[in-house]
Amino acid sequence: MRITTRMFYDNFLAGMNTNLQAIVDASEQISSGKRVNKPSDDPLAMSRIIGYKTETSQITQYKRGINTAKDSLETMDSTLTTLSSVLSRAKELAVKGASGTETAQSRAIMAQEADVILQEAIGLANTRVGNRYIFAGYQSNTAPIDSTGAFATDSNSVKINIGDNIDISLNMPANELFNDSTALPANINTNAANGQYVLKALNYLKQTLADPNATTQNLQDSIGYIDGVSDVLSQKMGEVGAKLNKVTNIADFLDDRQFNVTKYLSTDQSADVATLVTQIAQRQTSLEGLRQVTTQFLSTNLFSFLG
Amino acid sequence: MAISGLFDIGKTALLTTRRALDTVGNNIANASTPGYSRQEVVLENIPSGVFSRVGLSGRGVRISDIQRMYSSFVNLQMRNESSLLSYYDTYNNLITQLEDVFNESSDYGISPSINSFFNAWDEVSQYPDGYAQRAQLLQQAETMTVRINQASNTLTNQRSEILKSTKELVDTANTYLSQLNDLNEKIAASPGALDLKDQRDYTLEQLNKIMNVTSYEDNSGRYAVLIGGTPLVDGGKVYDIKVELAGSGSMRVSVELPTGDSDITSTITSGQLKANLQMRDTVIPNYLTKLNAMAINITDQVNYYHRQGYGLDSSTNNNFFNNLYTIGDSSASGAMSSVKIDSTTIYGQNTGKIYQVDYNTTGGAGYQQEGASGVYWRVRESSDDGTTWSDIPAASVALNADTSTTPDFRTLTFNGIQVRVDGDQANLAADTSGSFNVSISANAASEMGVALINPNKIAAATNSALLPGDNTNAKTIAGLFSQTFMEGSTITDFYTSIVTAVGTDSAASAGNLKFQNGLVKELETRRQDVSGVSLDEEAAKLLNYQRSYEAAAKMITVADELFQTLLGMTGR
Repeated sequence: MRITTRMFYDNFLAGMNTNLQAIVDASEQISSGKRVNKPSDDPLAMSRIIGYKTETSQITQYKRGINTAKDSLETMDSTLTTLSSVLSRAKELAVKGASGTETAQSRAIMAQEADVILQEAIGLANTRVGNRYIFAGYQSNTAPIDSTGAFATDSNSVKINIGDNIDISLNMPANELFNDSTALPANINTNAANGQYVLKALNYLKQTLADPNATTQNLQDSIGYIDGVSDVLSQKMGEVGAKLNKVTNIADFLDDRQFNVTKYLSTDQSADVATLVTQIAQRQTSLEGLRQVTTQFLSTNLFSFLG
Repeated sequence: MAISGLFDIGKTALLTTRRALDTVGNNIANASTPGYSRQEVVLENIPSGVFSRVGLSGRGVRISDIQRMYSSFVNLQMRNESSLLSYYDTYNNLITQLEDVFNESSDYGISPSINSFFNAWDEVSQYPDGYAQRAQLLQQAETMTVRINQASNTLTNQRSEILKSTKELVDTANTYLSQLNDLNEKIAASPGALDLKDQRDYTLEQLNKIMNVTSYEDNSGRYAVLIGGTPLVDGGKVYDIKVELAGSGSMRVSVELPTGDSDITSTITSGQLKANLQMRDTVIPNYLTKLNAMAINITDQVNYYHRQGYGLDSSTNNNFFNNLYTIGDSSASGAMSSVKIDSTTIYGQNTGKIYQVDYNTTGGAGYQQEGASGVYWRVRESSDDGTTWSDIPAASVALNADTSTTPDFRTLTFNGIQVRVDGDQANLAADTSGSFNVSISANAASEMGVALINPNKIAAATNSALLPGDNTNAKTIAGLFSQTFMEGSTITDFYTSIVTAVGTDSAASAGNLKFQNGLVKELETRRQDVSGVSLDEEAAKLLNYQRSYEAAAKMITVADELFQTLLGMTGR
């Protein structure tokens, strides 16, 4: 084959281009830190990258949901703990009132204390997180216990997402613990519901202590009612504890998942800088060789030796 | 032979060597001229022309031919392959631009904006009464629609850029055609014009880079240039090509023949023109359709749920996004008290379509009766702005009537669209006929936009009595993110499939380009083997002819000396 000057130029240009292109590609990867800089670099990896990024974004959002849920549930937990100590005080009062050593007069004074306890319980029922009543339903800006002591909102549970197809309710409608939608009676009203609702039990205690005609049975009943609602309360506290547990577990799971997804994302996307630097060095060596050979060859030809 | 004959031989040698040196010089001068073929002189002995029984030497040297070192086979291959190369090159260039639109390696693509949009809905479901969360949702919706709009607009702009470049290419091709014709005429008049032949072959190769023409040499040495059997240059005539937009919006390339306009669009199978045609009229519309389908589906799904919910101000039946379809009722709107699109999964196939729904009391082809009411319904579709209509067969239209409400209503479901028409059967029958149109936007992705302005109107609640904490609707809409309403997949999966398709296409075209580049380089080497100028070789020839020249000159000196000797003899 005849070797012509053009061939040499063309070869040189093509070889130089290939090497330069490889160096540019490698340095782009190094400067962006990414192995996949456009879909065609690795179409399948790109589709996984979108998936991982979407999952990361979802996990982040779920974590925000978890924080919102924690805000509500932790407040609820401490509210119920306070309520439980309130009930212990009420129990003491009820036991003292039923002891038979108290006069009607001293019981009237105790009734005042019972009223303070009742108001405190109402206050706890109207606890807010931000501007949301945690013991209300969807009507979250309405106090769940109104001035008559009745439950005044709907009883829907507000559910938010904290994972794929996992949701959790932020609230506990007050009619599950504090009172149903009937007003607190102004006299002694023996009723099975008294042992079910905290406010009714406390109100019964207050009315019993305040009423000089209250029977020993009434006084004994009030102890029973308080014991009854304490049971309901501890059950509810258990529920809230379980929910907090669930939230914490899911948060741990999401942390794990995020760690893994980040790892996968990095495997698919991150540039392997060490390899790239080696590649660049190799390309540079061959580029230098190419330049040397070409310039040496092109600088002389037969004409140099003529004449 | 007389002594003066020696002078003649010397003279032929001097002149011939001079011309050979000219050729060498020309080769050196054109060593890097594109399309130049190396020329070589062919020398021959001038016979004595005398009959003799003893051997007689010739009378000098002469040039029998100057040859153009040229292989028509290699050049033919070169034309075809470089035509394909310029197709891949242009295609790769264009697909790389397209890839930028769908580049998700950064954190600012379409996919993150979709994630943020649905996350914002989730945030609203966590704080349905929060103004900040609602305002944030509107902001994210705006960002998402702008991203989708931009992608769509970039694709549309790219299409018009390609049209512009195609027009320029066609102009250039026409210039080449008339150059070829000029060269044809010159070569026919002077068949020995080697340089013109080089020029003609080079021009033909350039033309082939634009489009795959074929050519053959006729008896008079002219090239006839054809594309798929349609003449472009033939018998001293040039037929210009032109490009225009056909009714469908696609480009149409045609040749103006004396017999009329001839469409050659489908015969262009390679070259830059092919890349432009394919990209503008097949590849980009394909991605645009997918983008449109995505815009329509997101809009419609979110709107569907949003209309059913309630805002903080108790408002309901609001669209979150601007509707991407319009309903126009032409007649009998009195009997049909309201017409609305109920629920839709408007697939990509629907983009740009117009549906006409009409009823009568007599029935006919394509009609179906609503129960036993005596009212017959029919749906027709048009893909070209209402110019031609075709019936959707009654079997493909689900008609369900409900007469338990006042007024009666019925739903017509076709192609994933469910239209609800309110109106009492008796009234409809009394009016005897009526119709209305449903047009689906053809450019949904560029028209997609947020309709809500007031954050309080975001319908997070499903019950107006349970405000502000009712978050069920917001939760439902946030959950759409993982629903498979995009032609059987989630939005992210659907969008990912677009990105992967572009990426795969681009990667494949880069591979093709690389391969073709190697092939053309190989051919170029083979062409150089035959036609290329080697400076070393020319230097050697230069030396050779220089020495010949010197020898010829020396010979004339010797002849002169012989003469002198002879003259000296007589003068004595």
